[in-house]
Amino acid sequence: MKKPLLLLVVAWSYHACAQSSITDIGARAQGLGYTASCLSDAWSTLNNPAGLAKQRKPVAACTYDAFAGFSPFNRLAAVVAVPTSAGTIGAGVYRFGDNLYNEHLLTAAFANTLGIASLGGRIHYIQYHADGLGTRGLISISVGGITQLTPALLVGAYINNLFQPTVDRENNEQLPTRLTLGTGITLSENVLWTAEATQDLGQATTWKTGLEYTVQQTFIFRVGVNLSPDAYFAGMGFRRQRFLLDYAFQHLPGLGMRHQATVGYYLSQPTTP
Amino acid sequence: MRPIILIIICITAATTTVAQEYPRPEITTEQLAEELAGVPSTDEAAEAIEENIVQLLSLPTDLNTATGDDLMAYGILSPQQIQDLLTYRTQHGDFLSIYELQAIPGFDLPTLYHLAHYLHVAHPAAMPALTPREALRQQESYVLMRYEHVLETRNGFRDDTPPDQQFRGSAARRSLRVRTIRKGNLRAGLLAENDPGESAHWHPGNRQYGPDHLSGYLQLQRRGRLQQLVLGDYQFHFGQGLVTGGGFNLGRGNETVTAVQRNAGGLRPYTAAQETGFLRGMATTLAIYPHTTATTFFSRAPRDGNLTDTATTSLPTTGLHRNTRELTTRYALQQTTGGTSVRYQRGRLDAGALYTYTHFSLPVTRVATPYNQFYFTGSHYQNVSLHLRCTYTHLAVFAEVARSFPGGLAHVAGMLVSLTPALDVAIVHRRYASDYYTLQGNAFGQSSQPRNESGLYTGWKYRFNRRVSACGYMDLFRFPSLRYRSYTPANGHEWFIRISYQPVKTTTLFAQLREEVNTRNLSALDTSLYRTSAGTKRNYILACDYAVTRMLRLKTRLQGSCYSLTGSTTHGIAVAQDVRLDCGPLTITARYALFNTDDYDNRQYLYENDVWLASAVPMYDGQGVRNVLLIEYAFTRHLRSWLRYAHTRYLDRDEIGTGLDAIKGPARNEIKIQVAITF
Repeated sequence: MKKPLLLLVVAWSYHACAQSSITDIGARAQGLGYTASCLSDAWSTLNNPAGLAKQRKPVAACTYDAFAGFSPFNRLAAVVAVPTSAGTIGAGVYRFGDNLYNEHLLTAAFANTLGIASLGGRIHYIQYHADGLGTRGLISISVGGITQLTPALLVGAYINNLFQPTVDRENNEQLPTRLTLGTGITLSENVLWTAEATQDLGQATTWKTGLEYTVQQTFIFRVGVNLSPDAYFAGMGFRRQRFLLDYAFQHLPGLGMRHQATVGYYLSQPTTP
Repeated sequence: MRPIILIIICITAATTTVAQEYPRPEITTEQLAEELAGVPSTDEAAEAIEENIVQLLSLPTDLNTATGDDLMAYGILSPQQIQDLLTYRTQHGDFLSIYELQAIPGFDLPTLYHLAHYLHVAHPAAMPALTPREALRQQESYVLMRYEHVLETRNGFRDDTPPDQQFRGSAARRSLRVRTIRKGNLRAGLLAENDPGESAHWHPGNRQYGPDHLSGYLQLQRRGRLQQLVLGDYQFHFGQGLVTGGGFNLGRGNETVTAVQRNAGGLRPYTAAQETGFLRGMATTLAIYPHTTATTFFSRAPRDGNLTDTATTSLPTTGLHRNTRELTTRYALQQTTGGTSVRYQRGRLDAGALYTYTHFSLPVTRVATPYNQFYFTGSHYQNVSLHLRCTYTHLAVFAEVARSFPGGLAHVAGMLVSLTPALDVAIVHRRYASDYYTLQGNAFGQSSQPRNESGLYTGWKYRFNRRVSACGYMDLFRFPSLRYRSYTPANGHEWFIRISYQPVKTTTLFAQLREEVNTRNLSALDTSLYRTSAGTKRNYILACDYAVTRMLRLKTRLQGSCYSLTGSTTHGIAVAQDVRLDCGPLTITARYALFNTDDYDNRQYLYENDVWLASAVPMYDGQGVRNVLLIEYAFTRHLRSWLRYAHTRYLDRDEIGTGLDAIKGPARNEIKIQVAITF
């Protein structure tokens, strides 16, 4: 009984407003260069929804992503993921911007495992608000999948904005569809290497790669690189009892730095039978 | 314990020598270049790599006397491996044989064979059969005489060239190199060289004592507290090369992880043939406390300079003094450098501080251009630097911070880590201010000088198994200020990946791909406003090296590139086939190469075999054929000779080269003869 209530509280605590539909978020994903296609954690709600299928324990998390020196580019998000007998359900909220221009997103995701593959989808409501121009709200769908080919090899793919809903009919503006294909290889029990290619129609392909090193299952060090746009990333994580703390930064040469801090917490109850 | 080791080694060595079907191929400059050096991007970079390879081969090769810095200079062993080797040597005494390296934890057979190319054990207990070239390399004292001649007449030698541009001397390059080592502690060397067109005079007033370039040194090592004393020409390597030295920079090559850390080798005698880049005077290294050494150096080196009435407008580094105009720049000013450095080395920690002061006898000015606003002008500058290096099991961390007065701050920091036994990763961050200045710097970065650059480099190396390994790097960089041919702040990136496959010890295959994105000026048609655009350059190399029989080795290489800028793409390709025949005292190496490049951006650099202690990285530009034949013959154990003939024929031009070096006609023939006497 407590779990659904928690879900409702989290889901309705923010107004859903207009939202930039590509929501790569999470300090763990950022530390790895946003190669989130094969990662399974609470942030899969906003990244690759198929990653939720591997979540065995209910978890809630929030994050704040700040752009150094220009606060209108800051982002804020909160997610919760709860495994149930039918699969894992996730929900999240996200905000970008300041009072002049902002985007809000409310999302619900669901994922399940079929054999070696996990499939997931999410539906989100996005609201764009520009001061003086008005407010637009739309609904969009994203789907994704992760396959465990061998115990050490994962392949993941997901599509954002599957149906390209129209934001503005007069100017023919649509939400961009983006296809992401990635892989994650466990090189040893402590080292995870991820690589990904992201194609946003009309833009150059972004190539991403990341490396994660875990020490004593408590301290985690991450490093990542992106090409077009060029950026490099680094991050750290700390895991202790029920807490998941992560920090990451991103450097865009010539543009500046982004810093992100994430706090996660395992909720009390184990997975339902 | 020790006798047992000796017995085991003798048995192992004896059985290995008998079972060995193919002799270990001894290291040649070409092989060293291929294994360690990267693809040069400019002629200056190619020449610098050549000189560094030669210097690397002149390093002490005895495993029992090599210091940690010497071992790091090769860039093959990780800091942890070097530490283990030195600890083992201290605990168990000198190595009895190169095979004893297997007893050190972290050394496997492939590493041993790789290292055996460069290092040996003098007076080993088990002596592997030496080929003549290896025997030469292990001899420490020699006299080398070299004669090079391009058969076609260059423009500078023709009678129809204006008299003040005509070359004064003969068309051959002659050089003499002497090196002697006495009792292991005293070394001396001499180099006398005349470039083609330079004449030999005796003019003490002009500082010419016979040949145009004369360089020598006397080095004393390990006399109590005096660790080193060098008189003559030397180089000083400190920290990561932000101020001076920085080790042997072979560009970005196969060693993507271990070679990012420069070795701070301290004082080294100067053995290269480049006529600038060394210090000339006296330098000493003293042990002042148990773990602390102090180095003081003083130098007063002559430099070429283009003079106006009162100042020097540029400092040429080619060292060519062939005609009247070039002779007026010869040794036009003096560069006086003095400095002191303190170094603390204990266990895993290595830290140091450096101060240098440089003074030019004539002030340096610049003809103003958009890109040289921050270049050095004036008559003196100072540098201060701090460096730190720390090794902890599988992690090595290094950093250096330097400041030039006048000028700005530069820093480089990085770490090397072995995440798993198969995976090594290196991360280096650098930030060099636009106005940071040093004349002898050699730091990690995209450009040759540590200036106007910031970036992050990540390198990795992964060994799948004993046969297959892969390595690569990714470098994201930014130039905050204007550069030559790029008049805006620019971002760029470079990535590289190389996969090597060695199915048997005598066969190696590798494939390599590199991409570099960098901005360049676009020529403006009607205004003087420059726009820049990002150009992409991709290089690839496919190579295969295999031994057909014990005496015959073949090597095939396919190399190409493509360059695209604002929509137009140009290509270049070169194919080379090498044959090598080893029969006793006679070795014959031959190469047949074809090349076809669209433009200068796609020029190909291919490392070539050359006579001992010379290195060739010719540039293939245009369409043509190149043939090279190298014959080595060892008359006796102490007398060896080389004959090299190189022929290039172009299909797309009637004149080779530009300016005074141009040759009329589509062909160029070059002969090189060298004789070495060892004692």
